[in-house]
Amino acid sequence: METSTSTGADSHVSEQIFEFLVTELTHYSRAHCAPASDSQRDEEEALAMASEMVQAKVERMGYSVGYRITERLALNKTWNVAPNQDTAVAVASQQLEAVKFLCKDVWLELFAKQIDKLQTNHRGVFVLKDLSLKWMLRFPVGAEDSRIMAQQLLSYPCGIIRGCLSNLGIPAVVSCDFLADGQSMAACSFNIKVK
Amino acid sequence: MASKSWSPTYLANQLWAKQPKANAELFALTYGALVAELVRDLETNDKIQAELDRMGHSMGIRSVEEFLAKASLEPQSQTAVTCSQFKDTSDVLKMALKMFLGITTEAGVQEDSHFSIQFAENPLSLFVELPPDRSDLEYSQLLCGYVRGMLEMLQFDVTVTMAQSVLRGDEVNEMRVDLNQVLQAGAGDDYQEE
Repeated sequence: METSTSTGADSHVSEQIFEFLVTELTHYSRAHCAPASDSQRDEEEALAMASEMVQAKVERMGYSVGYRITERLALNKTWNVAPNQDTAVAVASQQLEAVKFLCKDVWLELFAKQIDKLQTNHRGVFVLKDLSLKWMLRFPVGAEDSRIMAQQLLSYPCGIIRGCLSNLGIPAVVSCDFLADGQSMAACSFNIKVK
Repeated sequence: MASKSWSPTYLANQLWAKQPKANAELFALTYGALVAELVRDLETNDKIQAELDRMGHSMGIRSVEEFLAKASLEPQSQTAVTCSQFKDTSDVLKMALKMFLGITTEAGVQEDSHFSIQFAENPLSLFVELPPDRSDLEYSQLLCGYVRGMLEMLQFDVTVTMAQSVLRGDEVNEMRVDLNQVLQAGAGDDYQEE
């Protein structure tokens, strides 16, 4: 029996191939932003610079993906925002709605699970905690290199978050952190600060 | 039922049903962002395609392991599919492409030293239109590298090209696989077993 040749929201590829592609994307960025062998700067500084450039590159790609995928995912979404409210309250509730959308809908598409924990100070700072991020499970713990690489890979979801929020009209800065250093690379947090 | 009734298409669909899935739109957009980045960095189509080919190649190498682990192609299993001839690999390729990319392929030309596979949907080119100044770019070059990588792990040195592409205005996507040589099995002279 042939399966239907569907395209659109219900079409899929395998999880592995997506993961391989993201890995290749980071790998390419790393190869492209090799540390400059500039004699004037010392080596450590050059390495740190290169790593930053890789992160920026991966993040930029994530941003464009996040911006576009939000367009698709938010197509049939009804926003639960009460109208005619005091502006400060309205803005805060809009932001919360957007972040909730990110934690549920977007994360579900990215990692087939929801964010484990969402914290906010209701003044534009959100902390999203994911205790077992699929892509990170196989990273070795404790190696110095692996932390740098994990950070570069994490730039991709960071970019997606920023792109998603930007599409929803919320300019933000996103950074990431590891929650269980020394035990697992898979527990991480994403810190969103609305500009 | 005799084992011959397990057609590659049936097996491919079974493998596909068991796979954990990811959103195809997300995959397509990620690939799009990557190609856009390559266009910015590398400028010429040749360089971009070479890079995409290299990426596909390393993805293919990794996919083979996954495929062999899950597809259970051992002779003793019910689902025996053997590649005694080069053209038989097109059946296995059909299964692998379904399993990883979810695409249903049809066999095209089947010769001793080359074969082609056709497919209507291409998950890489979802939403894609090539701008006029990049109309020569082989957008799906990653797929060619992917197939090359997979077959290389099975000891076949091949050249893969897109013979037809929907993006370039053809009716169907067609990938042509040419056999250059069958690689020698084993680790070579450098490796001596104790």
